[in-house]
Amino acid sequence: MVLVDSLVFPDLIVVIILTIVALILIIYLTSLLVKLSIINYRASISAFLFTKCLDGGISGINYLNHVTITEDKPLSGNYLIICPRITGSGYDINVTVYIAYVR
Amino acid sequence: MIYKSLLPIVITLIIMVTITTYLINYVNYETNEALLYENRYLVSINVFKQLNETLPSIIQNEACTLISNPINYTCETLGINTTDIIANVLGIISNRTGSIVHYEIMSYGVYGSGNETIYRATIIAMTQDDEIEGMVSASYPINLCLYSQAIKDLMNNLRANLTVYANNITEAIQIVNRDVSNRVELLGDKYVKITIYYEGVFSMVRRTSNQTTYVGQIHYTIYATPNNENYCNKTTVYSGDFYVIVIINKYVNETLYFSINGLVNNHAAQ
Repeated sequence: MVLVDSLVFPDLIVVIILTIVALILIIYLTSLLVKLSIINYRASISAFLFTKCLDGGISGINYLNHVTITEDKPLSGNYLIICPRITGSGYDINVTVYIAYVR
Repeated sequence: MIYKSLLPIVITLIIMVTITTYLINYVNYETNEALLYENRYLVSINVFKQLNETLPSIIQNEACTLISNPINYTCETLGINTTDIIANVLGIISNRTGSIVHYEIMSYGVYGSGNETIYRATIIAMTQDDEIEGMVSASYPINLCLYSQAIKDLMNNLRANLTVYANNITEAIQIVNRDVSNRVELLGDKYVKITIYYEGVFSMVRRTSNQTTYVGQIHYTIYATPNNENYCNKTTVYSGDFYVIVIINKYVNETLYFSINGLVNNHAAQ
């Protein structure tokens, strides 16, 4: 029994500790990878919206699940794209400012 | 010694976490930079671009207002009003973005050049940490500055009263007709197409043995349009009066009243 204690127990503790450390690192790494992909998503969505804005406005975009487009003033600095549109002719000039957020 | 095989896994994980953390910081910074540039572009150059596209229709509208009232609505008024419209549009954008961007119209000018009117404005878009200068301009294919000046000159020419010395009434009428024609011809036919209808009734006011005096008021109506293609089908219409004293150097027995009417235009062949 003493032999077992001296040989297995410290080994088991170390294994458990290392496993926990590995698990924490895996969870942390996963969260970092998720964060990275969110940044990537933001970047590609903003590039898409930027092109759309230049191409005639982002008002018609409602098929992106994680993008909200509002005409309100920006509440935080968290917006993706500000897209001002000037339409109309003569004295009848309409100005709309669309702001896109990622949900 | 089972943990010895776990150690490389942990070390690999630590390396991966380090690389990913570095990557996140790097990519996040780059993404924010890219977003900043994109938004800066959209609120400055893209806005200038859109203004440039809208400006011709604003100028066209202003031009039509000018053509229907070139005396009060001059070239300068057109410049001021157009600049106001632009400032208003920029103000709305600035306001709706919560003052992320602020615009300032640095200078503007409107001038006639050959057969054109050119409007130009320099705008500065100020974002949090940058200033971008842009120019908007539009032209209208009629020299509105000269048009409004020509109508003003014409109205001035027509305002002058006239004294006619003649041997008889027929001659007096010819002199008055020729005078109205001269006033119009002074203008030439380069920038403006004019038709004037005029009429007046003269009545005898004094008669001596060798002189008869008539006084009359010529009422005229001007119809003017720019000489080039007129895009808004507006006509300038003004009317006014001037007094004419007719002095016949003889005793006129029978005529107490006579009238004059006529039509003058500066574009003989229509």
